Amino acid sequence: MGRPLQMEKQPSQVLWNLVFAVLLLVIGLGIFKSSQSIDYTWRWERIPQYIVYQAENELRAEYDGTITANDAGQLILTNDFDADEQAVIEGFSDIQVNEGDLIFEGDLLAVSYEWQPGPIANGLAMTIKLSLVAIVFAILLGVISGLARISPNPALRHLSVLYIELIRGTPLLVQIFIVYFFIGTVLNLDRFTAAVAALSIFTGAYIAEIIRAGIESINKGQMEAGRSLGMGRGQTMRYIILPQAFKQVLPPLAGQFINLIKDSSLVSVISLTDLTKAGRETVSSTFSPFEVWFTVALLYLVLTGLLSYVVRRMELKYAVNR
Amino acid sequence: MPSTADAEVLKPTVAEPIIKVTDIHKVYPNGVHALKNVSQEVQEGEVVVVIGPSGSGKSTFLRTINQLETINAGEIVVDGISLTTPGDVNKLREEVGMVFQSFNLFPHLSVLDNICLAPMKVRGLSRSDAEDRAVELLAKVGLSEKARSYPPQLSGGQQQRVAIARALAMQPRIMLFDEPTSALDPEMVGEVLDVMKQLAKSGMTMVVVTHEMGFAREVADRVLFMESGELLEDSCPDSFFDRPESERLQNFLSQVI
Repeated sequence: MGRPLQMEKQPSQVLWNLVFAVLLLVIGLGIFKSSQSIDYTWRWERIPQYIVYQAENELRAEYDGTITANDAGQLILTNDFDADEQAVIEGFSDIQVNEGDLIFEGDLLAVSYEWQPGPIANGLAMTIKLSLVAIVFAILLGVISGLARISPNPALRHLSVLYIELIRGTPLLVQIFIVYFFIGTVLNLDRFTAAVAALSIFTGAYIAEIIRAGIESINKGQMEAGRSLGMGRGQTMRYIILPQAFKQVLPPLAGQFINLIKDSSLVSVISLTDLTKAGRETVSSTFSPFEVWFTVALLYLVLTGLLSYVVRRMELKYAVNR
Repeated sequence: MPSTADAEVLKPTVAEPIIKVTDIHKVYPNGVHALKNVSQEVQEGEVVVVIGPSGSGKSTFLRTINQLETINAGEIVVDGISLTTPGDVNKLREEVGMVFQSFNLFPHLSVLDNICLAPMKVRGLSRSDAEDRAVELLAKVGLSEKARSYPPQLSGGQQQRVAIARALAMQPRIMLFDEPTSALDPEMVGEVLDVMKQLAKSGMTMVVVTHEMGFAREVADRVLFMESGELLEDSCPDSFFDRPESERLQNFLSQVI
């Protein structure tokens, strides 16, 4: 019972967890002190309104008139010069007039407040949308070129190697410029399409290598067993090799998706307002770069953390039969 | 010159061999000459056991019959289909079942799905028909209660019996066994050999590569001895074990028995 008995001396759990906590504290204190030494005023209160804010929606009178109430208790503005022209004041949370009030054109009748996403939330939405669409195409491209990479057909194989080597040998930033300014101009692509294309082409090359390695990790006997039963190469691949390879490639694939989310920050260079670009715009209007960039970093961390969590759940699910 | 009518009458008695191997050579890319001038004929319903030291080319010989290995020279005709003319190799493999030393079951599929997959995808059977056939075969190999298990949950002997059922589900005309008991713990060899004996009794054409001398003596119609890529002996079990002709077979037998 209790702790397992073993000969080798084990480090004290309590002591070293305490050391870890103290180290964290020291690092935090260091950051705090260093920000003090450069005389920076933290204004965290400015940040939330760039994520969500309450937009005011005002209703103003379009003509001179009088306020009356109908049977349902709703207030109605009736034109003093034309009794047929009436407007019901409804759907507003804060009504500023009472029954019997005399109203002049342009007076404030009612206000409602609505939560609106701020630039950072919009940027976050763009980053999510961009990453999701790019992931779908990257998987498609990666699986196709991964299979082509091990095809017995030399044309397919060489094409796949060429693609993978070209993409892995050049920086993503340069690829984004090429896709947007060259291919984008030739094919008349909009910014979003260009960004999706650049990201999925880039990630697809890495996924291709992951898929290839996954397939090659499956015992050769599996292919032989499938073929010996009269199934074709494609059928064996689909029903026997790929389902097994899928489980093998999940962890590296997850790493690649996380990279894709982070790499999507580079598309801000072609003026696509993703999370990073939104951060830059917010800095220029708040003059609070520290707070903004910490917020942006935290949001990326939430995205990638969620993705890791989902993939870990999938790994557990597919590991049941082993 | 016989008329066509006479030829038809003769057919049942002078049957074409179901496997006919003529002067085949196999050289691996690394230069190993695995098969040298091997010729062999197997009649329908015959059980042929191939014996020999490791590296003698007996597994390679077996694997050429369903073209898991290609040959460099010679000719193989299986069930009237020549393997040297380009054609649909899958059609041939539908008729030739194979059992591997390492079982090669599909670990991500249940035992039932392992057996049903090929009949459904290749023979076009409906799921219920394929499952009926699978249940019947599982009963035959004595594993009815394991239909819902997954291969990694089974013992080696059980896995190999499932592998035999999987191959039989395609209703092949020939069964190839590549050292089916070599990867098994000793106490599990018997259960697999029993299934194979039962299969031999039912009239299946079988080519078996094995080290089980007892099985060869009891079940085989003919026993072949191979060494360094050559077929050195081809005789009935009694003369093979009791009156071996070649000196190398005598040496081999004195070492293993």
